[in-house]
Order: sequence, then structure tokens, then C-alpha cells
Amino acid sequence: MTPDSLRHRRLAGAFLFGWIFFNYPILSLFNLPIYWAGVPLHFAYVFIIWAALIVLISLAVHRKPPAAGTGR
Amino acid sequence: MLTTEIILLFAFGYTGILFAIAYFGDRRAAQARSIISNPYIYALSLAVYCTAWTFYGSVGRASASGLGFLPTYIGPTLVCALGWVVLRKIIRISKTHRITSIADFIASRYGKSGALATVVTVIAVMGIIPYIALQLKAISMSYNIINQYPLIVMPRYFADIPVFRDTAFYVALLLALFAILFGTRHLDATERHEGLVAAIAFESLVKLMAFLAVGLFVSYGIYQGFGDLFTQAATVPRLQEQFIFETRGSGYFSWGLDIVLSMVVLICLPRQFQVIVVENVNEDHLQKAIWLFPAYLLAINLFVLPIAFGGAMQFPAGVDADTFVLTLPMARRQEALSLLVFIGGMSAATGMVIVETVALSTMICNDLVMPVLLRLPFARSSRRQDLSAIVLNIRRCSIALVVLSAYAYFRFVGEAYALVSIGLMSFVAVAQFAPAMLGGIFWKQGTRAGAISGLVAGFTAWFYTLVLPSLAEAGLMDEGLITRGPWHAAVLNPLQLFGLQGLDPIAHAVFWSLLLNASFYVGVSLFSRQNALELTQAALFVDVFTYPAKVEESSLWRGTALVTDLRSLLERFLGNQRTEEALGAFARERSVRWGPLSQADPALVTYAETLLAGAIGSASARVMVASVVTEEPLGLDEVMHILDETRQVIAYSRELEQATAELKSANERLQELDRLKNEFISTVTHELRTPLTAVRSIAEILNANPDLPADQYRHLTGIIITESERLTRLINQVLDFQRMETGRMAWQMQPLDFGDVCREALAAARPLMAEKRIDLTSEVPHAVPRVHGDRDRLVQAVLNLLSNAVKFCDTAGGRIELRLAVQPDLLQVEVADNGVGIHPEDLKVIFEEFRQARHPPRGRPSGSGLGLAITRRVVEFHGGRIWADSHPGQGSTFAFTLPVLHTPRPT
Repeated sequence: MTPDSLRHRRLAGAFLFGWIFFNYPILSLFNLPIYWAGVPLHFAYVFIIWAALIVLISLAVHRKPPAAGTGR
Repeated sequence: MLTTEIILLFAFGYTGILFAIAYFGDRRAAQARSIISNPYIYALSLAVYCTAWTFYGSVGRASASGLGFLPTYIGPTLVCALGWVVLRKIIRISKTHRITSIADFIASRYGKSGALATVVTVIAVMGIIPYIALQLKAISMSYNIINQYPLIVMPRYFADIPVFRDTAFYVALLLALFAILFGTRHLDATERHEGLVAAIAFESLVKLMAFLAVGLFVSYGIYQGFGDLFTQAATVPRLQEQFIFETRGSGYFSWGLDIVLSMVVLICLPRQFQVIVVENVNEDHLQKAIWLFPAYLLAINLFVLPIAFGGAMQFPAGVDADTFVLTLPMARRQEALSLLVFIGGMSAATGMVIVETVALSTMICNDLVMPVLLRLPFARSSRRQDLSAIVLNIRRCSIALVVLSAYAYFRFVGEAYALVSIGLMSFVAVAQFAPAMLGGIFWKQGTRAGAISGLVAGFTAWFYTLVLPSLAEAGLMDEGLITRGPWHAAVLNPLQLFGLQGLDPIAHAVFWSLLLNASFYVGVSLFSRQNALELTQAALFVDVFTYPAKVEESSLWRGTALVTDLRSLLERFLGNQRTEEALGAFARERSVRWGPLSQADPALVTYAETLLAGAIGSASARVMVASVVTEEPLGLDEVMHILDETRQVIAYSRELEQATAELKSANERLQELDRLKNEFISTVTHELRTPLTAVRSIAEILNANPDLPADQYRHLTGIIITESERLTRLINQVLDFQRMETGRMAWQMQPLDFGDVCREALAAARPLMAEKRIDLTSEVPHAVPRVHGDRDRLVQAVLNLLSNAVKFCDTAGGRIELRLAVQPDLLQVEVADNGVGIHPEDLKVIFEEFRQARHPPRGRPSGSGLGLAITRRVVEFHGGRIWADSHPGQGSTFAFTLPVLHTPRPT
């Protein structure tokens, strides 16, 4: 696999992650009247997923592909 | 005290700084010392996405619907994840074809269609002018509020202020001036504006700082952190309702549609196209920008909810939530912070207005005015006259016109709406470009007819479901339209089209307009035909990464033209100097010289057309070039043929590269073999010389001493015999190996008992072991299944392993064990020693010919280096497998397998 196609796959994975966690039904699992250190859970959830998605994108772009193994 | 003078001083002082930065950026660009050529400035310039709508409107929307404001920012983040695929492709295509606007992009893809460019431009202008008006409204609103400091009064009626006393009017004029100065300095084939981008990046920094400052102030100055703020908000029932996302009806579906809307909009907004694509200096900047830009969006949204809830608790009803960002610090008498927020809001608004007007003016000029202008006789006449000044002036007028229309819209129409609804309406309008655009870069079959019908259908649906209701709400149309539906037909109610209920108006409009748009685009495309030019452009767009970087190399044009005609055409739009430079570069690259009557080759014609496209758009460029050349139309088959050829050339060159690499590695392998052969020859000759020397010196002793005692005589001749046997063995080995290599080995295959083979090899090895005082043990079962093989060769193979093991063993305490194990279907022979072991690197190559341990623990190993290679060949010839296991210092084990002979049952 070339580094570029690996990057494409990683980014596609990041996109799917974001799409799934930002939409129904996963989103509804956190839509509860629960507070997390005083902050409504739903608000905290959306911002944490958002931050995670950004980290994923940056890893997908900047992390070198793992070194090829010596085994076949 | 914040007096009007101080506020105005800061407002215009800030604008002055923008002019200075832009001027500096342009000057550095002219010196080829760009200040914007880095991914950070690029990412900041993308943040022109965040307008006054973000700065003031997000808070307003959050206090009405909780998280409802967020899809607008989550969508772009998701697009960024796809950015490396989608955005990079759009950038590459645009750079290749010198595309400078979204209208040009779509038109160029569908056969450089002037009609399509016009449709896109009209939609963009109609959709965007309200959006620009919104920015002016935000500036005006924020000015009127801060000007009342320390009172907090909502400005209700803008109409009361005469135009010439309205600050927003002067700001609008200043912005138009800025856009004219830094957006239309010269007519360039690339349309990049470095100074402008530098100023935009600066504005992005300012608005982020201002918003973070007010966010921190509200969260930690007024309240004790997020927890405290939300806990207090939870005690107000009206606010607590917002904590939970509205799930009745179709809340999640609308949320999803909103995300989709903002995803496509990031690509389709003219200003985003301008900063992402046209102003891009280097494709690689995208790598960092696709996470830096989302990080910016996250940062600027972090405090939206705290400000929204904080504002709602601080103010009684009557203060517009859209103004909380500004009114919260004002209510707390924070003069400096209030001023900073005002400037931040202004930076958000002005950044958007500047980039958007420049982008729109390019489209208006190239795709609305030029097509008409170029049909006028004065422009078509080939008299030498410089049209570039005219083009630039058209752009300047367009900028002024756009800004003034936006101001007029704000004054006379825009008062009725909140910031957000105007912004979202624009979003839905430009989202109509998405099917034609995304389809255009991924789907070759999309046709011009499909694109036009899709756009028209989507635009009509947008107008019907969003604009008409808003006009009705504003009282400009009969309100019955939205309550009863036109002609009392409820099924046609623009807010519940075909009875669709439960969606909010925006989601409702997004759904119908994009559905109709995409359906018409795909449907009509499937039932219409592409002409040759469409076919060409479709292939060049969709497969942009497989064609040469320069379009002119894939010469899809046939006809005749004079170089002088092309030159004068270029001069009329680009001026003498730029034309000279561009043609000079072309001529140098191809080493051609043109005389007065030289014919232009297809590459030059395409080059000229691309240059021109950068200045006046692809559709107009095509018309202009066609006016000076005599074209032979290409048939569809020919186009396909040429495209195929171009692609094949690339494919060939790739294949060639691959073949070269293969040859190179084969050559390296050959050299390695050559080196090994030399090593082998020196080893073998060395091995031959040792016994030969022994034989010769003993013969000399015998010759010089004819009367040696009998026992000594026998001893010496005995040595001669063993040494010559050794010599014979060596020579036989070399000959054997050579026969096996060339396939001339005569194998005596027969069924045989492998136990016997082992015993024979053991017997042969015993004297050697005894001599070296090595302990040899064996485990050979009595009844062993028979194998099919060459007895002598197999004995030799086992013996080779045994004598090989001797070489690794110490003389004292050495132990060698031969084990024969019977497994179903095969026999496994193992020769284990307790010697020094083999270095892991040697283990890999030890069975290759001429190889000897490179890391010999005890100097140079003896032997020809062929023993193991011969063994391997013998084993493999018999259908077996050979391998070695070893750890340095812990001995090694050589093992091989042989398939068992299945004798047919006696019948």
C-alpha cells in the first residue's frame, strides 16, 4: 500500500467516525439529563467527539505509516 | 468612557491596519518573498468561513435551540476529513485549467459552457447579496449598541437613520475600496491576491481572540467556570429545556441535514472557493490546514453555549440574544473588552465582505459582462487595443455594485430577519452547486444539460420554499401563501411542500432543493449526450491525477492559427509585458522561434486559451480564441482516441520507470553473484591448494629420503591417500553442483529405506567424529516408510549435514545428534549440534551457493561453500524442504523433510 492510499483510508476512517458519532442513533444515547462536572452531558459529548475527530485527522495526515514488518 | 469619537477612531484605525497589512503583503509578493506561503496563514484564511453570523448569530441560535448552531461547524470538520481527497482534487483541477471562480469551475467542466457559467453566477449573486447584507447589518447593529454605552438599548429602526449618517454605509464604502485596491490590482492569469489573504488571516486572528476573551470573561469573570454557569442555568426551566436536544418530530433528521448542508457549503461558497482553491499557494498546505481549520472552528465555538446561557440569565427579556456577545461586557462596564468585541465582530464581517465581493466580482465580470461585451463589434475587432483596463474596471464596478446592493438589501429588506435565518438562506442557495460540482469531479457521464437542469430545479425549489415564505412573512406578499398555500392548494404550501411536515424551514428547503437538483442532474445526464468538448473536459477533470500536469501537453485541438494573432489576442487582455513573459517562457521550454507567419501548434493554442481563461474565464476565453483560429472540429471518436493516447503515454512512462527499477535490481543481483563467484573461486583454489601442498611436500620428503623406515613410509603415503581423496571429493562436489545447476544430473531414483540411508551416512561420518573426538548419537527407528529417491545423493546430503555440524563443534565436548522422525506423509531428519551457532543474518542465506558464514566465530570456515547448497538441491529435488534453526552460542539444528512413498496396495 502506498503512503498516499494509506492516508486516504485513514482519513475515510476519520470521516466515518465523525459521521457516526455525530448522528442518530449514537448521538441520542448521550441526550440525557445527566451532568458531568455541572456541564450537561450532551454538550460535553459533542465537544469531546469533535476534538477527537480533529486529533484523528491530524494523526491520519502526519503519522508515518508503520514500518514494514520483517515477516512475510 | 466610550465616546462615539473613540469608537470611530478604533473602527477606522482597525481598517487602516488592514490596508497596511494588505499593502505590505502585496509588496512582499511582488518581491517574491511571500508572507502567506505557509499552512498556518492558509488555515487562518479558511476561517473567513466564520462571519459576523458566527460571531454574533451563533449565540442567538444557541439560546433558541441549544446545540442547534453546531452542525454549521461540524460539517466543515467532516469535509476536512475528506479534504485530502475532495479539496485536493478541486485545487489540482483549478490550477491545471487556471480556474478562478466556482462559476468557471462548473462551466469549464461541462464543456466551457457560457450558459452554465451565467446560471451559476446568477444563483451566487442572488444567494450571496443577502449574506453580505447580513454582515453590514451586524456592523451597523453592533455600532449602534456600543454607541449607547453604558446604556443597553436595542436599535429597532434603522430606517430612522439617514443613509449619510449611517456608519454601516461608510464601512461598506471602505470595504468596497479595500476590495477594489487589493482584489483588482492587475489582471493576472492566476488571480491570487497575497495582500488580501494576509489581511484576512489577520482578521481571523482578531475575531478569535475577541470571542475567546469575552467567553473567558463570561465563564470565569461573571461565573465560576462552566460547571457553575450550567448549574445556575439548570435552575431556570426555560433554559434547562435547551440542555436536551429536541427529539420530537424530526430533530435528528434536521440535524443530519444541517450537517450535510454545511458540508457542501464549505466547498460551494464563492469566498471559500476563493481562499481554499484560488488563493492556495501550495497544495501541501492542505495537509496541516485540514486539521488546523477545524481546530479553529472548535475554539471559536467553545464559549458559544456559556455566553448564550450566561446572557439569558443576566438579561431580562428585551435584549436580543444576537447581541449577548457585545452586551454582556457592556453591562459589566468592561470598556476595553466591549471595544475589543466590537472590533472582533467587525473583523468577522469585513473579512467575509471583502473576500465574497472579490469572488463575486470575478464571476460577474467573467460570466455576465464579458460574454455580452465580447459580442460587441469593438471587442471583436482585432485592432490592437488594451482590453485589460476595461476588464479591471468592470470588476471594480462589480465590487461597488455588489457592496451597494447588499447595503440596499440591508436597509430595505433585511431588517425583518435574525442574522441566522439570512445566513442559512444563502447557504441553501449556494449548496445548489454541489451536485454539479461533486458529480463533475467524480462522475464522467454528467452532462451540461444535466448540470443546467439540476441547478435550475434546485434554485427554483430554493426560491419557492425559502424566499417566497420570507417575503410573505415580511409582508411583501400575501400571507395566505404560507398559511393556506397558493390558490388554497395546501399541497403546494411552500413551507410544507407536498404535505411534508415536521422539518424546520431550512431542513425542509435543503431536502427538496437538493433532492430535485440531484435527481435532475443525474436523470437528465443519463438521457443526454456530451459533445466532444464536454467529453474532453469530463475526462480531464475526473482523471486529473492521471494526465500530465500541463493541459497543453494533452493537445485536444486541431486547426490553424497564426502565432501573431494569438499574441495580439493575449496582449489585449494581459498587456504587452505579461504576454511577452508568458510566450517567452513557452518558447524557451520548447526551444521554438516564431517568425511573422509562423503557424501556432495545438499546444500553443491550448496554452494561450488557458492563460486567457485565468483572466476572463474559460467560456469567454474559448470564444476569444475561436475568433482568431480556424478550427477543425474533432469527432467524439478522435477525442476518445487522443485522451487514451495521452493516458497511455503516462502509463508507458510509469511502466518504463518500473522496468528500469527492475533492471537495476537485477543488475545489483548479478554483481552480487559475480562477487560471490570470485569469492568461491578463491575459496576453492585455497581448498585445492592445501591438500595439494601436503601431497607435494610429502612426495618431496619421500623423494629425498629413499630409505625411510617402513612404518614412517606407510604413514606418509597414508596421508597422501587421504589428501588426494579430499581433493577428489572437492572436485566431485564442484562437478555435482554444476550438473545440478545445469540440470544434467543423472538421478538414480528408486524406492528405498531411508533408515538405511541414515545408517550409511552415520557409518561414513564416524571416523571423522572419532578423529575429532566428537560424540555422535543417533535416533533412527528400525521401521521407516520407504521414500523414492537417489540413494547415493541422499547419503551425501545427510553426510554433508553431519560434516557441516562437525565444523561448528568444539573438538572436546562436542556433541552431534542425528534424529529421524516419522510423521504422517513425511520423514523429518534433524542434525543438531552443540557448537557455536550461526549468526541470524547468515541463517537466511546459508543454503545459497558459494555462501559461507560471514560471521564465522573461528576465522575462516573450511570447505567449498557448496555442501549445504548441494544438500538443498538434493532435498528440493526429492520434494522436501530444508531449514536451519540456531541461536549463537547454543548450537544449531539443520533439518529437512522428505515425502513418504505411498505404495499402491497390492492387488
